[in-house]
Amino acid sequence: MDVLVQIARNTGYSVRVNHKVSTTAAASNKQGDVELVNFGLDGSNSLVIDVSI
Amino acid sequence: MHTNDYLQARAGVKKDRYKEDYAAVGTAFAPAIVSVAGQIHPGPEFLRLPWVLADKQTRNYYVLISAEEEIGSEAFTWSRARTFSLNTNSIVKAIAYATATRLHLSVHSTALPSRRQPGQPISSAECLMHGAAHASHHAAPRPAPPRPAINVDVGAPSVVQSAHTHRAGASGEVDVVDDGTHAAGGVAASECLAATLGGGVVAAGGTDAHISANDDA
Repeated sequence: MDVLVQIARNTGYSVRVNHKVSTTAAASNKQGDVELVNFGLDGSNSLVIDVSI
Repeated sequence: MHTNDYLQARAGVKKDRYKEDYAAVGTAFAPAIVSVAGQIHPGPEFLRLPWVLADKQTRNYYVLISAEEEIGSEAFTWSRARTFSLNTNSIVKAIAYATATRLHLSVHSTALPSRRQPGQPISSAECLMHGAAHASHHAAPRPAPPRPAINVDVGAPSVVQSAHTHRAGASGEVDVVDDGTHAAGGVAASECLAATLGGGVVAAGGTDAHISANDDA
């Protein structure tokens, strides 16, 4: 996860790690592992990568 | 169930659980799941991310060096491929390290040793961590430190002393005179050091060993 964050930061993206992403769903406490802010996808502001092994 | 199917199933569960909620707030979601064998989930989302990052990195670099007109050229393509390889290699190396750590925890239930002890073979995780996976697992033997000349009269105890305990001008020669009734185990290093630096005779208390240091100066 740290490597991915480092690569994204080197690319110039603003990255948030383990940042709770507020959602409209009820009783949701989604917590993105790596969030690339303003990633530039169509219809999306950010991209959340959920890293697990 | 094959590993691919398992990874696919886990990715599907994560996507079903989170994707719609994230989409409601304008956030894309992609799972990055790897197995303990180092296999990456074959879904397209995460596998395409390094290429997207490499493309943007290369474009940023060409803008930085004021070579925007060369974006899209063959040189740009090769540069992007190189960046892509570097990024993917970094990710795969991190996955390998995470996999080794996970397996070590599963087997030993302890954290990885922070430092390798002399004489112990290097672990696979350390190899990966230090980029020496190709290196031999046997460390090269270290040269023994120089030892002072020791004159032994009669059945002397073992005296081990390092060279840096000698002061300048001293001969570095330690005479060990034994009465034949010395205690087993030899002479303490502190006594040996005192004998070398003191320039006199030191009687070892509790033992019958006498150490004399002879200075030539």
